[in-house]
Amino acid sequence: MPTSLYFGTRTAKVLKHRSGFSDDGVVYNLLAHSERVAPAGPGGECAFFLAYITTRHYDQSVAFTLAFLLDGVQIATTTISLTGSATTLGNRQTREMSLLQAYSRSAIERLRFAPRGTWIEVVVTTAYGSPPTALQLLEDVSIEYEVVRETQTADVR
Amino acid sequence: MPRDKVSIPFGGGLDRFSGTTVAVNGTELDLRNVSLGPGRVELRVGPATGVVAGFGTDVIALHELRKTGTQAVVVYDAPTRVVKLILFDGTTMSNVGTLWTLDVSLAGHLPRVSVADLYDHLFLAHEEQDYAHRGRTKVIDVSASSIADFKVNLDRTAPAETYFRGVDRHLNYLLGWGFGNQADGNRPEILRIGMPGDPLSMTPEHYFIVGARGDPIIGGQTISADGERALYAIGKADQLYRLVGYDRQTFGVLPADMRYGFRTSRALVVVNGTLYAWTVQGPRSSTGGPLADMSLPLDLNGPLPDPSAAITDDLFAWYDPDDQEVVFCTGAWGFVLHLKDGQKRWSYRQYGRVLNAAGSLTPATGTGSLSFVTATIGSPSSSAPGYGPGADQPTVTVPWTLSGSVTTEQVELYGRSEVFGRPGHVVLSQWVKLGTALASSLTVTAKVPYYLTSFDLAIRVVKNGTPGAGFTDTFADNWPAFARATVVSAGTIASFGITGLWERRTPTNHGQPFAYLGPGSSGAPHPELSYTYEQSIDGGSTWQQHADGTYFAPLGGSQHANTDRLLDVQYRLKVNGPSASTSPSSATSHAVLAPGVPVITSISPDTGELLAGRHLHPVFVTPGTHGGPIEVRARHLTDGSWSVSYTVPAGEVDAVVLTDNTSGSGDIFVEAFTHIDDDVSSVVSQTGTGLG
Repeated sequence: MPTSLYFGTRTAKVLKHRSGFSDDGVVYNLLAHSERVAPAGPGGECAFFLAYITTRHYDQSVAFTLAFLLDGVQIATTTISLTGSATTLGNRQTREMSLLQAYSRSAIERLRFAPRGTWIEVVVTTAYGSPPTALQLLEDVSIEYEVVRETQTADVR
Repeated sequence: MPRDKVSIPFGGGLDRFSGTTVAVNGTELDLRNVSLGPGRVELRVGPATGVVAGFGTDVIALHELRKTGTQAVVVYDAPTRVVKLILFDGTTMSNVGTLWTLDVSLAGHLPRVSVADLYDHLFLAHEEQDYAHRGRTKVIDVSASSIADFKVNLDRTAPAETYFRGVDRHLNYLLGWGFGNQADGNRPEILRIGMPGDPLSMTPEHYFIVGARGDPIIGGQTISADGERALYAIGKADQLYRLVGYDRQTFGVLPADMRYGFRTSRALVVVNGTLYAWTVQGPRSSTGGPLADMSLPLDLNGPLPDPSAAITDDLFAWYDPDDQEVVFCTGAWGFVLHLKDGQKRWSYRQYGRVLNAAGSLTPATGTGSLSFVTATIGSPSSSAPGYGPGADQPTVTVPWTLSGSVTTEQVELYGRSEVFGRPGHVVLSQWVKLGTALASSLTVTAKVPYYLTSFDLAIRVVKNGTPGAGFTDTFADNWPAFARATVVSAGTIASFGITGLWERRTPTNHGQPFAYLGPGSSGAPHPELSYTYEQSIDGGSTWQQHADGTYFAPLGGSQHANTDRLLDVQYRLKVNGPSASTSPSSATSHAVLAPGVPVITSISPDTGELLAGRHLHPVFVTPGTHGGPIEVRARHLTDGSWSVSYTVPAGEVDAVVLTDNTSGSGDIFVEAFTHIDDDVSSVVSQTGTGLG
């Protein structure tokens, strides 16, 4: 029989590692909060248009949420559900997501604009409240941007 | 013209230390519950299912016994401070017995246990820094599942108990540290090495003094077992040493790092020749030299990522070979070092349960379908049961009859006591394997746990470690009736008694301390047993159950109203249960009676002023016995404060000599009184006659 890792707990139980996606029935969640990135440099400014999210998944359905923060303010969020099946096992998929913001007036959307800012970051979490049933893989998030203002060299006299 | 893209890859691990402008893209500010690979992150798997230990509040150590395909599970019960050993085969738990009942002063923190196995023996050390409260080192014969004190002859007299703080296996040697010898036990800096291939023996002179005397060794770990390159790391709080060599002629201890050591003995892991250890300044690694820092990405001096991330002395570590992760765990929080591709990355873990220990297990595979003979239990007989371990431990002899042709079958004998968990409520304890014998021997004699008052017995036939059909359930009640029997034997308490004098408990209550006195010097009532505790104040004619009712060990003491101290109070204690003791052990306290009026019979010298060195000889009458010290004191009649006093110990004393070291003249006042209470003294004094 294969070797397994076991844990002893404060509830006087011996738990078998790798036996599911909970801790003795208690659900946990993934959290990945990226470093901040400034495509135009610390003093520059960019307009952000699109995000491309690359995932790879297994044969069970999983869901996770991505939130984009621009200069510390959340500008967009999305939940990605991967419907698992034997045919999608190991599939690598890239999704496109708009970061454009809607401008509305009198409850009517008048136009969309690309948010501007310096530092952008991504926070990934699994959906809270329901235990995932399989491994999921997140490989990359790429963000499309245009430089509005380059980094300025500080003028120190 | 296409727009530019900036990529934010995942899988770079935590980096809380670098500033924003120099942090490597791909690292994370926060990263929890993940497994990492190059450029990818995935949800970790968890310990979703488990088995209840069946005893206690905490599983505090796990240690694999590869030969038997089982795991030693050390379990602690916080309310009773009992530490037990259980064997786990991946499916069921089998209680082996009690290792220690820890001192009450150790309550409140989780005990640590150091475990090592060599040559079919399992060694367990109570890793307690306070030598006075450290439990004896235990050894278990794995094949017999019997617990004994680990005794070695270290002072060339006779084998005696040992109190190692830690034990480990290195090459074919048992290492033990924190114990000198029977005459000089508390030597925390000593590392002892056992005999090669004979872990039960140690020679007195085969030891090393590691570093400064008195500076304790905290723990150790084998870094390499590769012949001449064998290396064992020995850590103190702020130093690391190397045990080099491979036998008694070549062993030597050398310094490796004089600045960093081990935070705890259990936060050590060796992976591919590299030691990963948590030091007082966070995680570090070594291949035998100085410990190199690995803590920068965690920024341990910065704000905690979570309140549960505070490091405690319960910190421990394990290596997960599947995910190639070293995990340092404190409570329900883990610091994870990912090693999968050679890059060392950190992340956090939040566990849904507080974890105390980790260990691997490769369960035995079994032997498939077997044919069995059938054993029918006969009439068991038992020796007079006592309550103490060792010589007082009762034995039971169980015969059986066989049907069928015997080959390699063995018969396993299981027992279960009647344990009274709460007043009036019978709780049956777990079935415990008491012994084994070849099926052809037709009888087995085994010691039964000393706390048994009456017990159920059951036998089953086992072939190559596998029980027959109908006997696989761990709950022997579910075995066929022909394999079970019950023995009822009365238990007795050898003695218990009053161990102290009346003492003040509250402003309005007094009491006397009790203790279980036997049998044996180490006697203590088993914590799972309950007792009925009664008292009589009329000479034993009528008995009332004490207000505390049913007692669980340890015994505390009595508590009475102040007026009761004037009585002779009798106490008795008996085991609860259907086979309860019919001869309860009893003890009688002495009443706190008033001493007689003291009278000064002579003063020496008997004329002149009361000067320094003058002796008074007051005589007073005490009761035949008295329940506490009597104090006699004297002063000049006109003085406001007492000039001399003398305390008569418990016992019969009817005259004392007081030496007055003051000067003055006039009548002398002498009084005698019991002195058991600050608020209510039994003052019965009168003036004596003084000379002016």
